[in-house]
Amino acid sequence: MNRNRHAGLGLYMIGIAALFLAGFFLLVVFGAQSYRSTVGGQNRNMQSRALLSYLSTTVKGYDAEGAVRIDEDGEVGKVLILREGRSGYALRIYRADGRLVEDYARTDAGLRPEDAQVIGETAVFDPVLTADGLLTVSCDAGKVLLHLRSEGAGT
Amino acid sequence: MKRNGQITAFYFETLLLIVVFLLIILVLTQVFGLARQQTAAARQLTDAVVLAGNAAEAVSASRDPAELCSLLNENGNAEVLPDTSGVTARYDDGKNPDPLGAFRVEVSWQPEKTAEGTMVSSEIRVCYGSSEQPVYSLETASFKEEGAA
Repeated sequence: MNRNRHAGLGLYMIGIAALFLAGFFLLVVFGAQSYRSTVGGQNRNMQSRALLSYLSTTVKGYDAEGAVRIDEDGEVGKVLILREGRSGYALRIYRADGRLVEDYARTDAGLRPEDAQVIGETAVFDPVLTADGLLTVSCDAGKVLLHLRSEGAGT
Repeated sequence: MKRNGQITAFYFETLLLIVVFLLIILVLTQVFGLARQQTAAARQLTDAVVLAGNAAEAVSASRDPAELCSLLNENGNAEVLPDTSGVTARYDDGKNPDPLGAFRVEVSWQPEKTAEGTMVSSEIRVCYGSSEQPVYSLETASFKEEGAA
């Protein structure tokens, strides 16, 4: 009789331990998933803000008559060229090795992606300039519309 | 007799422990759920800010609601309101133009004639789903010179 009672108590204890363990694992799994989702969302938002805000503020900063131009490069594809007045220098923004990069050089100088400053990661970089002075730039983070106040896009 | 009482107390204590443990699980589950909701809300807000900014640039680049609509319109996602007091455009969760998208960007167009041209004030509201409460809104204004392109 006493033996049966002991066996019952042992099973009861194992049951309690199993319940606690299951609950603990459930919490860890659910917590890890939540954390991953939160960090993923945070990264996506930061990446989106960094790329689109960078493009927006940079283009607006260089917005002058004939300053904004889009060129096509055989290696890197489309290059957004923002000329610095009549200095002969320009900021060039383009995609190299899956990253959006910028460099500052003479307008007639060749691109050197290895020396360029990395802005962020993107699989797409597609700037489009329309006749009415509207610049549309698409990248992984989305699309940003920029109205060139100077309406003086270069060709 | 005394041993029986001890066993009853033990069972009672473990029962109490289980209840406390379940309560903790319940509270933590709610906290995790809330964190997910906040993440989704932050994502929505970031997208809404971008869409509102783009709409503001389009307002600056257009002379009337019809032109604004043509700038925002892709795949038939934008339309001029019947009374021409503004434009509504829709986007999906990836911020892509979509006539059935969950994001609704409402752009009002309030022109005010002056001697030199027209001052256009706009309120841009970005709503999500069927909610009339905007996720993000901003006010902008743009001066259109008489005869300017």
